[in-house]
Parts: sequence; C-alpha cells; structure tokens
Amino acid sequence: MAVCVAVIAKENYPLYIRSVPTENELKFHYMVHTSLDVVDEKISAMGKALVDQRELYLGLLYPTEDYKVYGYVTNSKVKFVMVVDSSNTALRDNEIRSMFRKLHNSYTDVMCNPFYNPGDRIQSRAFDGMVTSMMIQARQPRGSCVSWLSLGIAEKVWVGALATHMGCLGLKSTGKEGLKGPLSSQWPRRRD
Amino acid sequence: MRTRGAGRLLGREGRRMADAVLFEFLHTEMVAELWAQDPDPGPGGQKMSLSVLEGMGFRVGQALGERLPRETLAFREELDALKFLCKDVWAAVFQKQMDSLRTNHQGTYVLQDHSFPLLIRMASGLQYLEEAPKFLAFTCGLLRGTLSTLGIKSLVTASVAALPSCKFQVVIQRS
Repeated sequence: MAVCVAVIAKENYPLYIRSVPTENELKFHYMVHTSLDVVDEKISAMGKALVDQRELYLGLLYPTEDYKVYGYVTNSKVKFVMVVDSSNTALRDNEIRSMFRKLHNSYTDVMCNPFYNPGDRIQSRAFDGMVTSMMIQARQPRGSCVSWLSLGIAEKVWVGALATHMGCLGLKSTGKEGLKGPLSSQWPRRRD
Repeated sequence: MRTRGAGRLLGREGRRMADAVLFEFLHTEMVAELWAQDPDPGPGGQKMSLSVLEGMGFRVGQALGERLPRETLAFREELDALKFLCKDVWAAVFQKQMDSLRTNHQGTYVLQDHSFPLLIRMASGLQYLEEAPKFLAFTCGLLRGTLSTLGIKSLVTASVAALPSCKFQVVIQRS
C-alpha cells in the first residue's frame, strides 16, 4: 500500500501526484523530486553498461528512515514514483511490480483517451480511482480506534446484553420459572 | 480467416483486434470527408486538409507509442526504435511488416512498403498517382506521433512512385 504516487513526464514535471492527506504533502513532493535524480542516474548507468536491454522496473531508489521510494520508467520516458511506508514489511517486490504494472496500464488508457492532451495534468477519474485503490486508506479518527483489548470488553458487554435479552425471552417463553434468583443466574451458562 | 489473423498479432494479451478492413474504410471516409467540403480548395486549402490528416495521425501515433511497447524492454538506440516501427507498429496497424528499412546512419531513414494496404485497393500502377498523397498523410502523422512518444523528434514525408508501393522518409531532427 503506497503512501504517495506520482507520475512524472519526460521533461521532469509532475503529471499527477497524490499522497495520503493526513501527512505533510510537501514532504512527499520533495521526496519525489529528489528521487528524479536517482532515476536519471539509474537510466544512464544501465545505458552505459553493456546490458542487452534495460528493464522498465527500477526497483528501490533510495530508503529513508520512514519510507522507501520505488521507481519505474516507461519506454516513453514517463516515470512512476511510489513511496511506501517502511514499517509495512509485508510488501514484497512482486507486489510493487504488479502495482507499477497497473499504473502503467492505467496511464496507457489515459493516453489513449482522445480528450486528454499529452503533457497535461492527469484529471481522469478512472485513474484517480485506480490510485486510490493502491494507497493506504485514510486512518480512522482517534475516537473510533478500537484496540484488541477494548474489543474484547465491548464484545463481552454486547454478548451479555444479548444474552440477557435472550434469557428474558427464554423465561417468557417457558413462562414457568419466572424471574427467580439474582440477576446473574439469567446470564447464559457457558457451554464447557 | 482475416479476423483470426489480426487477432493473433495483437494476441500477446489475448485481445482480439477488430477486422483490419474497418480501419481502411474509416480512413477512406476521413479523406473523402475532408475533400468533400471543397473539391478544389486550391494549394492553400489542400495543405490545410493534409495537415489536419497528419495531425490526426500524430495523436493516434502518440497513443500507439504508449500502448504498443508494453512488455518490451527499453530501446537502446534510435535504430531499435525504427525497427520497432517497422515490425511491431506496422504489424499492429496494417497486419504486415515494412518491406525494407534503409538508413544513411546520419538521421535519415527510408521505409519502403511494396504493397501498402491503404493504397492497394486503389490501383496497381500509375493510375491515380496524384490522389495518392492524400492517403498517406495520416500514416505519416502516425509514424511521427509514435516516434515522438518514444522521445525522437522527426519529420516524416511520403512519396509514391507507383501504386501500391510507397516510401516514407523519416528525418530525425536533432536540436
């Protein structure tokens, strides 16, 4: 799940840049900008080496303490830069590659749209939707943040309330016992 | 069957392309429509129509240049891009490859097609020679557009000596 996604034209200006809104966006813009140098370096380095042909996926460009930046260059020298959270260690190379492939496909669709002039900012809603699907969803506000422990308590309270309700119903249905004993006897017995 | 053949060429991703003849009809209509407005527009008007056609081809070429080289690895040099034009782009649009590619290694390339699909239905020989350039303008734009997406600025002109054989001359503009 990315934290920031950017599409840079071959003249090195952004066609599309979007980051998670809770963070300081300027920081991501700056990171993407500095990563362009690394991209250029990688392209020229691979060109000089007598490698048969350069791959489109550039891999990890540079890591910072909180984030990792990945790059991808198409044949038309359009660069895709993705910033992911370092703490998300479950993200594997394959997943990043597939995210870039999806980006490339969507960008190609944008290019083929006759209402899009190459070189303009990308305003396609379809593209927006695709990028939203690969970004981290906005974090829940503090109030509704539920931890494992609190869930346990809430669950118990819920179960208890429902059980009481069911217990009352049960008593009603039999109708013979009536409301006897202390309240605790109306909690359902655990099936052990 | 024609459709199966066309589909096989773009079949890398299993997608089937529509029958090639649809594009040929559309192209013929485009040219006819631009000339129908004013059958004898004079030299200025004719240039305008030709540049409209070329502009259309350019935009299509730009999109093609983005969509076609999908899994291909990056081009190392100009000649690779031209070869890509001759093989992949021609095969995708016209279901055949370019017949010959010559270069003077100084930025000029001549692409020759002995039986250009958009001209083949018109005549075989010298008949309709004056009408032929109109039918090549779109394709010139297509080539120029594809090259521009690949990062190469160029000037493309076409010439016909005898239908249906035609030559496209690509001159790379180095600033």
